[in-house]
Amino acid sequence: MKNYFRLALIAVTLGFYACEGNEDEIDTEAPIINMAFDEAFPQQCEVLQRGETYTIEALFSDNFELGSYSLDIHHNFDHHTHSTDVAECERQPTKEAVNPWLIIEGHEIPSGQKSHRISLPLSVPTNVDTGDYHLMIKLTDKEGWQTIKGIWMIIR
Amino acid sequence: MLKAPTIENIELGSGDNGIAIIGQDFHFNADVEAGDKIETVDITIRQKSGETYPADWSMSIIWDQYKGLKNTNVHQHFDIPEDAVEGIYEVVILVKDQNGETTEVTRDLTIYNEASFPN
Repeated sequence: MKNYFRLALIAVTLGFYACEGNEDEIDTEAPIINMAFDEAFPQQCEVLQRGETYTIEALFSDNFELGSYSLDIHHNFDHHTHSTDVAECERQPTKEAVNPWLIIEGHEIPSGQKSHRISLPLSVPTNVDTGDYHLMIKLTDKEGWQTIKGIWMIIR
Repeated sequence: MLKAPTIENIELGSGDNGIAIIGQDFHFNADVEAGDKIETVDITIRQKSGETYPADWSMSIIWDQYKGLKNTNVHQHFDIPEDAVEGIYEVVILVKDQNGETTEVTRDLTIYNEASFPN
């Protein structure tokens, strides 16, 4: 009986320390979107043709655990700015949107991953307005830290 | 002591020109970081005391899609309604944190009719 209590005490103590260890580690770092490798796509000022299908290639990582990501493609015919890193490319003429391409879609990342590579097909519809567009990739980790990468694309 | 949210890189109007035109698209941008986690981000455009206006008008939008995030970039485009009236307004950007703290920033915005906008 005495041994049983001793064992139980050790188990409880270990459990306590295990929990405490996790809680001590506070995630203060945002995840990372890496598009600085050979196959990464699209790059800043990339020209995409209507009717063609491309593949978005990016590498996500986080110090603890990745959560989810979303893709947002919207027109930039008015040449608006973002405080996230959208580059400055050669501007197409400013114009009114008639049938602009718009994508807003969210994706979950399987749990337990610190690193995740995406290869997502991207088909440019044949009937959308040509011109300047922004692709915003928003990556969120399990804690809620978000990193946004903005890419200027030109649709022809 | 609980940490309050922060609001930075505010842009009111395209290129942060502080101008809105009635019936046209309005560009709003801000970087927000929560003390704990974001509950809501909202924007109110309202008339200022001491200014005179031809009619009463104000608008408010609450964005709850940022709920649960530690930080985000708020980038929104919305139309200034046709019933808005010209004048100098104050824009109040309010971030509510899930820890109960709030932070607000107030900035001026000039609203024009398209016809009277000095190009």
